[in-house]
Amino acid sequence: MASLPSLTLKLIARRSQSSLRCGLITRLSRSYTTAREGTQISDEEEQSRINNLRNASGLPENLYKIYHGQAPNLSYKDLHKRKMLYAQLGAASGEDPRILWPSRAKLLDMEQEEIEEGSPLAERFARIQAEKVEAEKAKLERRNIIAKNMQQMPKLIAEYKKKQANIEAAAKERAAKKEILLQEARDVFGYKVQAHDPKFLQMTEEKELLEKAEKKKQKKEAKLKKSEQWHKQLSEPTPQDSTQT
Amino acid sequence: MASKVTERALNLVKSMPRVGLGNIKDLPTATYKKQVNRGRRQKKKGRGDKGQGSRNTWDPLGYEGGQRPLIDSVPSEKYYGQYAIRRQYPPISLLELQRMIDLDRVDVTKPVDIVSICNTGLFKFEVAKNHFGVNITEEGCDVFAAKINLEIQWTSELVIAAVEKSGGTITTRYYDPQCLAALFNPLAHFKKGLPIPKCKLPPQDALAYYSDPEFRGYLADPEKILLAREKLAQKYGYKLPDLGADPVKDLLLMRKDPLQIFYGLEPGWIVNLKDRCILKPKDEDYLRYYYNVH
Repeated sequence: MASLPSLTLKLIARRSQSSLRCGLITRLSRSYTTAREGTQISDEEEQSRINNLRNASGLPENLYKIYHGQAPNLSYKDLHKRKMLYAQLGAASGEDPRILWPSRAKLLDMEQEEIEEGSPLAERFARIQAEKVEAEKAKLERRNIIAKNMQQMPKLIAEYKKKQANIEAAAKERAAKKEILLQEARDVFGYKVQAHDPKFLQMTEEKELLEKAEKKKQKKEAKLKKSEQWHKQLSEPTPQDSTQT
Repeated sequence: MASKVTERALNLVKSMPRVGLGNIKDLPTATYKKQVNRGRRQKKKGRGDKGQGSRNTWDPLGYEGGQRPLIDSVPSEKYYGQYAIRRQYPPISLLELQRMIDLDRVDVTKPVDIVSICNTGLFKFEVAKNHFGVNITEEGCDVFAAKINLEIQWTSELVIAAVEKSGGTITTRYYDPQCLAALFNPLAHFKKGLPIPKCKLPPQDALAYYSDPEFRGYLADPEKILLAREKLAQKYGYKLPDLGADPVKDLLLMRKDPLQIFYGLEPGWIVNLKDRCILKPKDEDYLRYYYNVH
């Protein structure tokens, strides 16, 4: 009998650790519980002591609860944690299921955002139709422009060909003239002169000046002739005049 | 009765952890003087010995010691502009689908949608990679022979013809990324305790496709779809089976609402796997939000 009180003292010391591993001790401690089966336990300490006794595995409190699908005892739970607990444990989590939906203010905010961002479906269909019609119109317009331009094509081709022909003819003329000059230079200098030779260039320059002078002279002579003729006409009596007198 | 504000404040205070040095900080208005180190230590001002670090002669950003930097090595191709953000529809062939049906991986006695195809484990897509659903390709169009109510995201005319020739029905349906995440892994979605999302309408460039009866879009006029069915049968030269006389007519004509993503479940509902029950909102604001799209 003397040994029993010492055992209970050891129990009290160990209770704080909440790890009762020896079956003997649990049996002995059960005989010392103040509560009886079927009575209400009001003391929280008593309740926690009983819970510890039930925890035969000796698991830490929250692990025990997770294993048995009970809500864990957490010092801090944010909204996300509470949602996850409800999803995981259901009604046993002790959370209000209303937290799973967005709050009314947030919901109305989301709704307002959707209204502002979106446009009615009819409008969107109308926009698609309008874009289609516009694309068709643009295609038709482009085709009309192409058709119109294609009508012009023979004329444009002919013009282009004529222009090219003119350019070619002019080039040929220049080449021919140059050839003649080169021939003359050959006669003058006695050998085939290069076109970029300064002697040849000088010769051509002089020739050009002579030609210019000649032209001027001819012009003057032509003018003089014309004026002489005119004077002659004026001085001669007209046949009409003679008859009149 | 305490006001809502005080109630919420009290709840906050109750749920917050005990104040300690580890979870408080000074007011934003608090100013701190620069710590001036008197003595030998402050000779180099924390810059170390010599080098670029102490002399502020760092190389320009991206410089790789003379090696052609990465930004120079890849040319800028303007024509790739929007390719990274375009919608993608990972493909699966009709042949693959037929094989899945033949091997009982897909139950044809129920409507087949992206959820059924993903649940086979043979088809996966990633929302983060701009995948917007399943694209059925034409390979196996001549051997396809299954009466199926198929709902997919993208397909071609030949596939539609193959499915309808076999006596089935096909619908193209748009799902926005949030819904796709729920569809790809419904179990994970319900385990998070999230309400079933409502499906948004397709964006403007996709709206034309999903409202086109030629592609059996879910927003198209049902009567125009019937006409398109007949036209397609004439085009490809097969006899169009009569849906009205079909014994599984109800299955073949089962369609989801444009806002609905799971058969038999409506947006706003919460499926709780632990209690094996469905939580449905009753409040009119919530009902209005979950049953309307703008």
